[in-house]
Amino acid sequence: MNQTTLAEKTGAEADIAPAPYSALLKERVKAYWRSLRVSDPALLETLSEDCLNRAQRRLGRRSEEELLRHALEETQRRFDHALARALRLPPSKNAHSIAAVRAAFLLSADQPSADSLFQSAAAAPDLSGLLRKALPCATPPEAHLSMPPAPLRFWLFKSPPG
Amino acid sequence: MPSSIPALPRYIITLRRAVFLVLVVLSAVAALAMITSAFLQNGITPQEIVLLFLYTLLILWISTSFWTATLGFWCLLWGGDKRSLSRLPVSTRERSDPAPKRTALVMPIYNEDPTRVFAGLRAIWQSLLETGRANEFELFILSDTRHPDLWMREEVNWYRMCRDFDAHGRIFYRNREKNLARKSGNIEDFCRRWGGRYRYMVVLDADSLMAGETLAKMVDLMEAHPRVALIQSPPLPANHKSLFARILQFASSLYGDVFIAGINFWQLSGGNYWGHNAILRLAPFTRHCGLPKLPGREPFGGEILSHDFVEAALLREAGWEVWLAPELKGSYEELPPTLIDYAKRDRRWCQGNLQHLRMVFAKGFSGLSRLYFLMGIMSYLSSPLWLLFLILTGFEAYVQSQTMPVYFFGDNIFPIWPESYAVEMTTVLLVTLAMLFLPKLWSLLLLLPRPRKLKTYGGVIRVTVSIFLESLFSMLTAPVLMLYQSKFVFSILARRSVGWLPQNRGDHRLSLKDAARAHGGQTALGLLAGGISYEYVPEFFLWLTPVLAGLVLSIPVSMLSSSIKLGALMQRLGIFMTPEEYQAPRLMELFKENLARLEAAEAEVEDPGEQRNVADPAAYSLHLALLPNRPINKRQRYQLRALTYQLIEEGPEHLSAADKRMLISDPETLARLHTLAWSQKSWMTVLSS
Repeated sequence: MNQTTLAEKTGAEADIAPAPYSALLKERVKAYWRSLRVSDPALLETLSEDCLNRAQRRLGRRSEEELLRHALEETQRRFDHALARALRLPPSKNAHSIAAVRAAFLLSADQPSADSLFQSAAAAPDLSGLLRKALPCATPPEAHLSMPPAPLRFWLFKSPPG
Repeated sequence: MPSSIPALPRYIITLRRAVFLVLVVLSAVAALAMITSAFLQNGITPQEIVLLFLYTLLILWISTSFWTATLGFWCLLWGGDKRSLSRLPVSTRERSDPAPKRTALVMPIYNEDPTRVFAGLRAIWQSLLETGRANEFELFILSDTRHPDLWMREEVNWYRMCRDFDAHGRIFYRNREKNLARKSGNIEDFCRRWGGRYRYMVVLDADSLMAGETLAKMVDLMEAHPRVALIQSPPLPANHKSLFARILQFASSLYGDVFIAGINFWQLSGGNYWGHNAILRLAPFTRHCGLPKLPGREPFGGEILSHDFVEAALLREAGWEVWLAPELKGSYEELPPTLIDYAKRDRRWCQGNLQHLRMVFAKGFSGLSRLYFLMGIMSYLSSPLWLLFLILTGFEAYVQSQTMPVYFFGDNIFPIWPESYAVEMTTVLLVTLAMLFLPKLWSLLLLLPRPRKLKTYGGVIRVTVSIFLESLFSMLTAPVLMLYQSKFVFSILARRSVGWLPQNRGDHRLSLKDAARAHGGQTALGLLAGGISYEYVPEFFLWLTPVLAGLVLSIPVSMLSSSIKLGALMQRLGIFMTPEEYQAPRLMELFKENLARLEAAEAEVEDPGEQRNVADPAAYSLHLALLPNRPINKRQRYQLRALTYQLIEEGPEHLSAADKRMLISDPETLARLHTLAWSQKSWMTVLSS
């Protein structure tokens, strides 16, 4: 199915039964959830629908692309909240810290499922410990040393200033 | 100024340098005397004076190299140098270094292939773990990478490395926002920001491989000799498969020992720095080695390109010792895989070395420092000098051929026969050739009484065949490199700068088009010079044949030598074997395993490029987490929006790497791009089809 048929199809369906969004759109949101390691089919269904409905409510009738964009943003927000909850971080903490947790989770070698973030609170402490240990630490605390330019002076050639 | 006692008494250093200098000068003077006596026999002409001047410079250069190798041969013949750093007793320590006894392994990288870089880094780290001393080290990847895709891939590779070795907080990564002063600026930035955490720093190149044992040994040597500020390990070229690289790997492996031992014989504590695979004491390095920007524009002014020689000179002048440690094995680097890549690397090094002309005139530098700078300059200047020498010799031969001999002068009834100087000239030629080829013989002679080592080079017959073929290859490529280097020297003198291009390090076969473009001019020049000399000076044509053959055959030689298949065939035949190929050291095995695994993982990725990275939630999240949180001004905000719209409307291929880098450097724009990557129509098209 190509893009034109997708638009035709969604338009035709809207005449028969006003579906809030197309199945393809939902598939896309599901794919995004899957890329965030949510694997349980029922959970995928619920979370995707929730995100799309919420985006729909906020936007009203807009283009599918915009609806998808908002649904994806909602997905990111929900996922970040779930991660913050697991690590007992305030959800409003800056984007970099949450991104670090997300990176640690998604790049983890154990490939933990994100299902537990949304299902049971019992799994969270384990995950919390795992993530805290695996947070990216790009640079250590700085310990400055001064490095003044060497006072080079030349015969015949111009010398550097200073 | 270091306070401890020097590792070696001063008189030994002076004596050895005196011996070396006397040998170099004496042999140069002897050769010069022969050629001068030949010239004087029929009266000396102005062009012969110029020829003598050129020959003086060239024979001094050849003689330096010859005596370095010969003295190295002498040392190795008696079981190695007893005055090398690792054999000296531990120095008495008067003042301990207050910095924590921790070593930073730093690898500056610039638009390199992350797969190769991290395969090497993993091997180094694994090797360190196997020594049980990894806790004394921390690793810093100092990225100056501008390419957006490579930048994000570096980050993911870094994180995976931390994860796989459980080394969070031990292995670090930093991408500089502005890469001022290239590699030296990159290291300087590290020293300024984190230098206080470490006592030592081991500088690696993007293609460096160093065994954990070697690293630990270097730290031990530094601890044992507090007056030493820098120890350079001799890196051996390894890992490449093309015929060109294999020939050079073989030559470096077999002949390298005599040269390294010879260099150490006369340099001792006044050694030099080759820019990587070396350990530095951070306190003196930061105190003395901040490099100023030179006045004037590039190529002679601006940032100091070949910073290593200057840094070593500054350390020596400050009273610190700089050593080469021939006994340190397990230190490797990679060579350019083709003749053209080799020449490209030479172009950068040439500019860096010619820039040192100013350093020769630095106030307060010792004669030794000036000598090193001159030697660096001479390694490139010798090519145009040889070229000029050949042209003038041809001209002289032509003049001689046109001169009618006069047998009778005045009232003299007996003919006066013109004196031939063929014997003297042939002797000079043979002496020069001997100086060039004897170091190869020294290496073979050292190998013969060591059957186990001999076996790793393929045995007596194969190693002899390899030396013969390598010599033939050197003869064919020498004129090509002479022309390249001459061109580089002239273009630098014409003030054309080289820029900062990443190196092509991977094996790749040259196409006929590439080879013809690179060597077409040389082939034409070879044919032209051959034609002229054959027509006007046929006797000279024969002498010129080796040079002409190299030029005329440059296209096929360059193409064939880039062949990986031919390299592999030679390996199967046991030709150009090195000990590392015969039995790969543990470090190499680790490197190859890592490389194979990382390459396989990379091959699985369907959609390479920065779009893939931005769309991938893991890579995107990591990148976002590592971005500095800097506010941006209104103008930049508008610029980012304009670029985003351009990206959406025209596609990523219409944006430059700098534009894309700008987009992914802003957290807000990055987040928008990530969402767009998942929501744009093309995704839905792909999904629906």
